[in-house]
Amino acid sequence: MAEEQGILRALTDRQQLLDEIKAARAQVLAAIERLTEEQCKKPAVDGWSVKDHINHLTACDEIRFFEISRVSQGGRAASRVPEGEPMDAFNESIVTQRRHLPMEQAIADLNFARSLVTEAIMGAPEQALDPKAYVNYAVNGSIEHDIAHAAAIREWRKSEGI
Amino acid sequence: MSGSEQQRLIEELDAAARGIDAAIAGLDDEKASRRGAEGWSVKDHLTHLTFWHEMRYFEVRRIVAGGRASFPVTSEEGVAAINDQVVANRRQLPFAQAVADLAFAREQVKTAVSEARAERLIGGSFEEIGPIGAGHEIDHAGFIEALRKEQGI
Repeated sequence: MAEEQGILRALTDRQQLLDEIKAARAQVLAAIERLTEEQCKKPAVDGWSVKDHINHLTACDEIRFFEISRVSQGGRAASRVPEGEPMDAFNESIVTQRRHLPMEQAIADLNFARSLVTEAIMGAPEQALDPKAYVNYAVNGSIEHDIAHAAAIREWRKSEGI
Repeated sequence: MSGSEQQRLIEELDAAARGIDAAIAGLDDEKASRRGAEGWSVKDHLTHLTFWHEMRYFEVRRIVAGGRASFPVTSEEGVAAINDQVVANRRQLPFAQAVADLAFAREQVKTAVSEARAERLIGGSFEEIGPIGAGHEIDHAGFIEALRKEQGI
Protein backbone atom coordinates (compact mmCIF):
# COMPACT_ATOMS: atom_id res chain seq x y z
CA MET A 1 0.00 0.00 0.00
CA ALA A 2 2.77 2.41 1.00
CA GLU A 3 4.66 1.50 -2.16
CA GLU A 4 1.53 2.10 -4.29
CA GLN A 5 1.06 5.48 -2.64
CA GLY A 6 4.67 6.32 -3.38
CA ILE A 7 4.22 5.43 -7.03
CA LEU A 8 1.02 7.46 -7.22
CA ARG A 9 2.72 10.47 -5.64
CA ALA A 10 5.62 10.18 -8.09
CA LEU A 11 3.20 10.03 -11.00
CA THR A 12 1.34 13.07 -9.69
CA ASP A 13 4.59 15.02 -9.22
CA ARG A 14 5.68 14.11 -12.72
CA GLN A 15 2.34 15.13 -14.19
CA GLN A 16 2.38 18.36 -12.25
CA LEU A 17 5.85 19.11 -13.56
CA LEU A 18 4.73 18.41 -17.12
CA ASP A 19 1.63 20.58 -16.67
CA GLU A 20 3.67 23.50 -15.34
CA ILE A 21 6.20 23.16 -18.14
CA LYS A 22 3.39 23.16 -20.69
CA ALA A 23 1.70 26.20 -19.13
CA ALA A 24 4.94 28.19 -19.12
CA ARG A 25 5.59 27.33 -22.75
CA ALA A 26 2.06 28.43 -23.62
CA GLN A 27 3.06 31.90 -22.37
CA VAL A 28 6.00 31.94 -24.80
CA LEU A 29 3.86 30.87 -27.73
CA ALA A 30 1.20 33.43 -26.84
CA ALA A 31 3.85 36.15 -26.59
CA ILE A 32 5.02 35.59 -30.18
CA GLU A 33 1.58 35.25 -31.76
CA ARG A 34 0.98 37.23 -34.95
CA LEU A 35 4.52 38.58 -35.18
CA THR A 36 6.00 38.81 -38.66
CA GLU A 37 9.43 37.57 -39.69
CA GLU A 38 10.67 41.16 -39.83
CA GLN A 39 9.34 41.96 -36.37
CA CYS A 40 10.92 38.81 -34.98
CA LYS A 41 14.33 39.80 -36.35
CA LYS A 42 14.35 43.27 -34.88
CA PRO A 43 16.84 43.58 -32.01
CA ALA A 44 15.26 44.78 -28.79
CA VAL A 45 16.82 47.04 -26.20
CA ASP A 46 18.83 44.20 -24.68
CA GLY A 47 20.25 43.36 -28.11
CA TRP A 48 18.26 40.18 -28.64
CA SER A 49 15.41 39.86 -31.10
CA VAL A 50 12.31 37.74 -30.49
CA LYS A 51 13.91 35.08 -32.67
CA ASP A 52 17.04 35.18 -30.53
CA HIS A 53 14.91 34.58 -27.45
CA ILE A 54 13.27 31.61 -29.17
CA ASN A 55 16.55 30.13 -30.38
CA HIS A 56 17.97 30.54 -26.90
CA LEU A 57 15.06 28.61 -25.38
CA THR A 58 15.54 25.89 -27.99
CA ALA A 59 19.25 25.55 -27.25
CA CYS A 60 18.52 25.32 -23.54
CA ASP A 61 16.04 22.51 -24.13
CA GLU A 62 18.51 20.70 -26.39
CA ILE A 63 21.05 20.79 -23.59
CA ARG A 64 18.38 19.99 -21.00
CA PHE A 65 17.35 16.86 -22.92
CA PHE A 66 20.87 15.47 -22.64
CA GLU A 67 21.17 16.57 -19.01
CA ILE A 68 17.98 14.71 -18.08
CA SER A 69 19.18 11.66 -20.03
CA ARG A 70 22.54 11.82 -18.28
CA VAL A 71 21.04 12.02 -14.79
CA SER A 72 18.47 9.36 -15.68
CA GLN A 73 21.35 6.99 -16.37
CA GLY A 74 22.91 7.71 -13.01
CA GLY A 75 25.42 10.30 -14.21
CA ARG A 76 26.06 13.82 -12.98
CA ALA A 77 24.73 16.91 -14.67
CA ALA A 78 27.42 18.07 -17.07
CA SER A 79 26.60 21.74 -17.14
CA ARG A 80 27.94 23.86 -14.30
CA VAL A 81 28.47 27.23 -15.89
CA PRO A 82 28.81 30.06 -13.38
CA GLU A 83 25.92 32.48 -13.78
CA GLY A 84 26.86 35.90 -15.05
CA GLU A 85 29.52 36.55 -17.65
CA PRO A 86 30.47 32.94 -18.56
CA MET A 87 26.84 31.94 -19.04
CA ASP A 88 26.07 35.14 -20.93
CA ALA A 89 29.01 34.48 -23.25
CA PHE A 90 27.87 30.92 -23.90
CA ASN A 91 24.29 32.01 -24.59
CA GLU A 92 25.49 34.74 -26.92
CA SER A 93 27.67 32.29 -28.87
CA ILE A 94 24.82 29.90 -29.48
CA VAL A 95 22.26 32.59 -30.33
CA THR A 96 24.66 34.19 -32.80
CA GLN A 97 25.03 30.85 -34.60
CA ARG A 98 21.28 30.56 -35.09
CA ARG A 99 20.45 34.12 -36.05
CA HIS A 100 20.15 33.23 -39.75
CA LEU A 101 17.35 30.72 -39.23
CA PRO A 102 13.87 31.72 -40.43
CA MET A 103 11.31 32.20 -37.66
CA GLU A 104 9.25 29.28 -38.92
CA GLN A 105 12.19 26.97 -38.35
CA ALA A 106 13.04 28.60 -35.04
CA ILE A 107 9.55 27.70 -33.84
CA ALA A 108 9.74 24.18 -35.30
CA ASP A 109 13.07 23.66 -33.55
CA LEU A 110 11.62 25.02 -30.33
CA ASN A 111 8.74 22.57 -30.48
CA PHE A 112 10.94 19.64 -31.41
CA ALA A 113 13.43 20.21 -28.60
CA ARG A 114 10.56 20.56 -26.14
CA SER A 115 8.96 17.32 -27.34
CA LEU A 116 12.18 15.48 -26.53
CA VAL A 117 12.45 17.08 -23.10
CA THR A 118 8.88 16.02 -22.40
CA GLU A 119 9.62 12.46 -23.53
CA ALA A 120 12.75 12.40 -21.36
CA ILE A 121 10.76 13.55 -18.32
CA MET A 122 8.05 10.98 -18.95
CA GLY A 123 10.63 8.21 -19.02
CA ALA A 124 12.91 9.54 -16.28
CA PRO A 125 13.43 7.69 -13.00
CA GLU A 126 12.60 9.62 -9.85
CA GLN A 127 16.16 10.75 -9.17
CA ALA A 128 16.18 12.59 -12.48
CA LEU A 129 13.03 14.52 -11.52
CA ASP A 130 14.80 16.12 -8.57
CA PRO A 131 15.91 19.65 -9.53
CA LYS A 132 18.76 19.37 -7.04
CA ALA A 133 20.42 16.87 -9.39
CA TYR A 134 21.08 19.70 -11.84
CA VAL A 135 22.89 23.02 -11.90
CA ASN A 136 22.14 25.11 -14.99
CA TYR A 137 19.54 23.16 -16.90
CA ALA A 138 17.33 21.67 -14.23
CA VAL A 139 14.52 19.33 -15.09
CA ASN A 140 12.05 22.05 -14.04
CA GLY A 141 14.26 24.96 -15.05
CA SER A 142 12.35 25.77 -18.19
CA ILE A 143 9.30 26.87 -16.20
CA GLU A 144 10.70 30.08 -14.77
CA HIS A 145 12.94 30.50 -17.77
CA ASP A 146 10.05 30.37 -20.26
CA ILE A 147 7.97 32.72 -18.13
CA ALA A 148 10.85 35.21 -17.94
CA HIS A 149 11.47 35.18 -21.68
CA ALA A 150 7.76 35.40 -22.45
CA ALA A 151 7.60 38.46 -20.19
CA ALA A 152 10.61 40.03 -21.95
CA ILE A 153 8.96 39.51 -25.33
CA ARG A 154 5.64 40.92 -24.11
CA GLU A 155 7.43 43.93 -22.65
CA TRP A 156 9.24 44.55 -25.92
CA ARG A 157 6.01 44.28 -27.90
CA LYS A 158 4.37 46.72 -25.56
CA SER A 159 7.21 49.20 -25.99
CA GLU A 160 7.00 48.80 -29.76
CA GLY A 161 3.23 48.95 -29.80
CA ILE A 162 2.88 45.64 -31.66
CA MET B 1 20.47 6.21 -49.92
CA SER B 2 19.73 2.61 -49.19
CA GLY B 3 19.50 1.12 -45.75
CA SER B 4 22.84 -0.57 -46.27
CA GLU B 5 24.44 2.77 -47.07
CA GLN B 6 22.99 4.22 -43.88
CA GLN B 7 24.45 1.24 -42.11
CA ARG B 8 27.78 2.03 -43.73
CA LEU B 9 27.71 5.54 -42.24
CA ILE B 10 26.98 4.10 -38.84
CA GLU B 11 29.77 1.56 -39.22
CA GLU B 12 32.08 4.43 -40.11
CA LEU B 13 31.20 6.08 -36.81
CA ASP B 14 31.58 2.77 -34.96
CA ALA B 15 35.06 2.39 -36.42
CA ALA B 16 35.96 5.92 -35.35
CA ALA B 17 34.61 5.15 -31.88
CA ARG B 18 36.89 2.14 -31.66
CA GLY B 19 39.75 4.51 -32.46
CA ILE B 20 38.77 6.66 -29.49
CA ASP B 21 38.45 3.58 -27.27
CA ALA B 22 41.95 2.50 -28.26
CA ALA B 23 43.32 6.01 -27.73
CA ILE B 24 42.00 6.22 -24.16
CA ALA B 25 42.70 2.61 -23.16
CA GLY B 26 44.35 2.21 -19.78
CA LEU B 27 43.78 5.77 -18.59
CA ASP B 28 42.44 6.55 -15.15
CA ASP B 29 40.74 9.70 -13.91
CA GLU B 30 43.96 11.43 -12.87
CA LYS B 31 45.82 10.79 -16.11
CA ALA B 32 42.79 11.63 -18.25
CA SER B 33 42.48 14.96 -16.45
CA ARG B 34 46.07 16.13 -17.00
CA ARG B 35 46.12 19.10 -19.31
CA GLY B 36 48.68 19.26 -22.08
CA ALA B 37 50.63 22.18 -23.48
CA GLU B 38 47.62 23.34 -25.48
CA GLY B 39 45.42 23.37 -22.40
CA TRP B 40 43.19 20.38 -22.99
CA SER B 41 43.23 17.01 -21.23
CA VAL B 42 42.14 13.68 -22.69
CA LYS B 43 38.86 14.13 -20.83
CA ASP B 44 38.43 17.55 -22.43
CA HIS B 45 38.72 15.97 -25.86
CA LEU B 46 36.00 13.49 -24.91
CA THR B 47 33.58 16.07 -23.54
CA HIS B 48 34.22 18.18 -26.62
CA LEU B 49 33.25 15.26 -28.88
CA THR B 50 30.20 14.61 -26.72
CA PHE B 51 28.95 18.18 -26.98
CA TRP B 52 29.21 18.17 -30.75
CA HIS B 53 27.42 14.82 -31.00
CA GLU B 54 24.68 16.29 -28.80
CA MET B 55 24.37 19.24 -31.16
CA ARG B 56 24.69 16.89 -34.14
CA TYR B 57 21.74 14.81 -32.96
CA PHE B 58 19.46 17.83 -33.12
CA GLU B 59 21.09 19.05 -36.34
CA VAL B 60 20.42 15.73 -38.08
CA ARG B 61 16.83 15.68 -36.87
CA ARG B 62 16.39 19.29 -37.93
CA ILE B 63 17.82 18.84 -41.42
CA VAL B 64 16.15 15.56 -42.24
CA ALA B 65 12.88 17.27 -41.30
CA GLY B 66 13.59 19.86 -44.01
CA GLY B 67 15.12 22.59 -41.87
CA ARG B 68 18.34 24.52 -42.21
CA ALA B 69 21.52 23.90 -40.29
CA SER B 70 21.55 25.71 -36.98
CA PHE B 71 25.34 25.77 -37.02
CA PRO B 72 26.36 27.38 -40.30
CA VAL B 73 29.96 27.49 -41.37
CA THR B 74 31.32 30.24 -39.17
CA SER B 75 34.56 31.83 -38.19
CA GLU B 76 37.07 29.65 -36.40
CA GLU B 77 36.96 32.12 -33.51
CA GLY B 78 33.23 31.65 -32.97
CA VAL B 79 33.50 27.88 -32.84
CA ALA B 80 36.65 28.02 -30.71
CA ALA B 81 34.80 30.16 -28.17
CA ILE B 82 32.00 27.60 -27.88
CA ASN B 83 34.54 24.77 -27.65
CA ASP B 84 36.44 26.37 -24.80
CA GLN B 85 33.27 27.28 -22.94
CA VAL B 86 31.84 23.78 -23.17
CA VAL B 87 35.07 22.04 -22.21
CA ALA B 88 35.59 24.28 -19.20
CA ASN B 89 32.01 23.67 -18.23
CA ARG B 90 32.37 19.89 -18.22
CA ARG B 91 35.81 19.67 -16.67
CA GLN B 92 34.34 18.60 -13.32
CA LEU B 93 32.91 15.36 -14.69
CA PRO B 94 34.66 12.12 -13.76
CA PHE B 95 36.46 10.36 -16.60
CA ALA B 96 34.08 7.39 -16.48
CA GLN B 97 31.11 9.67 -17.02
CA ALA B 98 32.86 11.52 -19.83
CA VAL B 99 33.29 8.16 -21.55
CA ALA B 100 29.68 7.14 -20.86
CA ASP B 101 28.30 10.49 -22.03
CA LEU B 102 30.20 10.21 -25.30
CA ALA B 103 28.84 6.71 -25.89
CA PHE B 104 25.30 7.89 -25.18
CA ALA B 105 25.49 10.94 -27.44
CA ARG B 106 27.01 8.84 -30.20
CA GLU B 107 24.17 6.32 -29.91
CA GLN B 108 21.66 9.15 -30.24
CA VAL B 109 23.34 10.28 -33.46
CA LYS B 110 23.28 6.73 -34.80
CA THR B 111 19.59 6.49 -34.02
CA ALA B 112 18.88 9.79 -35.80
CA VAL B 113 20.86 8.68 -38.86
CA SER B 114 19.22 5.26 -38.97
CA GLU B 115 15.77 6.87 -38.83
CA ALA B 116 16.57 9.64 -41.31
CA ARG B 117 14.97 9.89 -44.71
CA ALA B 118 17.71 8.98 -47.13
CA GLU B 119 17.46 11.93 -49.50
CA ARG B 120 17.64 14.43 -46.66
CA LEU B 121 20.82 12.86 -45.34
CA ILE B 122 22.42 13.19 -48.76
CA GLY B 123 20.85 16.42 -49.96
CA GLY B 124 20.38 18.11 -46.60
CA SER B 125 22.11 21.36 -45.86
CA PHE B 126 24.70 20.21 -43.35
CA GLU B 127 27.31 22.88 -42.70
CA GLU B 128 29.54 23.20 -39.64
CA ILE B 129 28.20 19.97 -38.15
CA GLY B 130 28.31 16.95 -40.44
CA PRO B 131 25.76 14.14 -40.21
CA ILE B 132 27.93 11.54 -38.52
CA GLY B 133 31.11 13.06 -37.06
CA ALA B 134 33.38 10.10 -37.74
CA GLY B 135 36.14 12.34 -39.09
CA HIS B 136 35.92 14.50 -35.99
CA GLU B 137 36.41 11.47 -33.76
CA ILE B 138 39.34 10.24 -35.85
CA ASP B 139 40.98 13.66 -35.57
CA HIS B 140 40.58 13.72 -31.81
CA ALA B 141 41.80 10.16 -31.41
CA GLY B 142 44.98 11.43 -33.04
CA PHE B 143 45.10 14.45 -30.72
CA ILE B 144 44.67 12.16 -27.71
CA GLU B 145 47.45 9.87 -28.87
CA ALA B 146 49.73 12.87 -29.34
CA LEU B 147 48.78 14.20 -25.90
CA ARG B 148 49.52 10.86 -24.27
CA LYS B 149 52.87 10.78 -25.99
CA GLU B 150 53.62 14.34 -24.88
CA GLN B 151 52.79 13.48 -21.28
CA GLY B 152 54.20 9.96 -21.27
CA ILE B 153 50.90 8.44 -20.11
